[in-house]
Amino acid sequence: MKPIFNLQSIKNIIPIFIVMIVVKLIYVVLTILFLPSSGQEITSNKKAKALYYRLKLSQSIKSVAPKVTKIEKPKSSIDSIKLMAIYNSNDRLVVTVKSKNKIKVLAKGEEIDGFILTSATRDYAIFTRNEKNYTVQFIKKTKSVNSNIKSMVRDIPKRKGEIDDDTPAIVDDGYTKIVKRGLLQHYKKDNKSIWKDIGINAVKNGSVVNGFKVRFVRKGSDFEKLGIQRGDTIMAVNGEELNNYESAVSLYKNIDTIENLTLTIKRRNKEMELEYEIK
Amino acid sequence: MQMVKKISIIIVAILLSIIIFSPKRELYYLLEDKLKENSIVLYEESIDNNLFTLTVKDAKVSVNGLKLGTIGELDITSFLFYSIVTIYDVSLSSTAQAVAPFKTLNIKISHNIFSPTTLNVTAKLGELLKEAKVKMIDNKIRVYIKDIDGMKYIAPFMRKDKQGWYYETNI
Repeated sequence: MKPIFNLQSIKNIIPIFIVMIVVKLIYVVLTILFLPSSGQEITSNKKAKALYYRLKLSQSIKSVAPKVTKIEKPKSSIDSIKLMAIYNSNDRLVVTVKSKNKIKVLAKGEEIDGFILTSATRDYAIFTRNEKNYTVQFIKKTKSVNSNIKSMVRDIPKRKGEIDDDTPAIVDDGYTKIVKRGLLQHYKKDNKSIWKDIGINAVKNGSVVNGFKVRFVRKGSDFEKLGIQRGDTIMAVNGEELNNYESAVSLYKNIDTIENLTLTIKRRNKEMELEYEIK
Repeated sequence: MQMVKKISIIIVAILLSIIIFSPKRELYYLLEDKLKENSIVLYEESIDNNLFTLTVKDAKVSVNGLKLGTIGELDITSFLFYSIVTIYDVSLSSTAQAVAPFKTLNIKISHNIFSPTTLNVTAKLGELLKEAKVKMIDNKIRVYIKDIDGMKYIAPFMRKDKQGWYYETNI
């Protein structure tokens, strides 16, 4: 009778099984003792804050009292109201308007010349009168206004992509600096030229980024004209903290579409803000 | 002769057991931990543990908090003496494309135990096929690229010696 199992073969296989079991056991022990049991995950960044404007309303805001005013019969048309500034945050809306040569600060719900302020966007305020909506846009600068703007800088040579006119790329109207959009477009197209003019390093606390420190600013460069100095730490842009590289790159990618820019910087341990209007 | 045969079989069994039973998934997690120490994070991937190969699919890559792209497939195969890592279909994010002017990337990295400080890399960057050697010399990593034609954007970071163009960084 022929045996089903060859005992000799089984004897040969047993040591192989033993070896395999021993190796597996060693691996199990090593895995439990030394190897991680789960991979890395990344936590998504908190939602970016909405852009907002910071405007000098220090004197005027004090005078804004949340009083309910009686709606009177309109005395003049919407054209007589000129919009000068908007402060729009999640919980507060304040606009500065000029009417009949008088500047007035209005909170949401207040009225001027029969028009009630209901809401506002970045560019215009919305008033209602007799259930009709009226939008009032910012006052466009006239030539005479522009002529009062004191040029902070010498004219810069024209660059590719820059608006082809004779005004300097950066001007200072005494409160905010006005930056030509063409300048931003130039730096976005030719990003190498950024690093010739400015050096920036991330300030890190362990793996957390706490802003970006300016290592150098080339003399006479646009960055110097923007008021950025060596040693400044850029903490936030438009209220959004620069606490990772992604927020910095996201800003860079969208730099040519924004209209206002507020840099929160730390200079000699004091926090301050640099404000720019992009035109 | 019988004894030699027995010992040979057992050695082969040991080697195969070491390869097949290796905790590939956990070793991959260890690799992720080590990469994270260098601010490189691989996340949201799916992992298949095969007999000889570990296949990682759709791993997202973030460097210094910047989402750089997605690795379509990453195959890690090790035969102890010779190991291959193949990275297919890397699609770069718009952020990464601002710096690297190609959209897709395939990389094959091989290592053999007889040249432990060298990695051989073949990369296909869009339409460009490039070969490189990564060498570890005195706590420095040196990446030699055979030719940098069509890669002007990396030239500012490169230096040259007898063996050709290289990029060097400390570890």
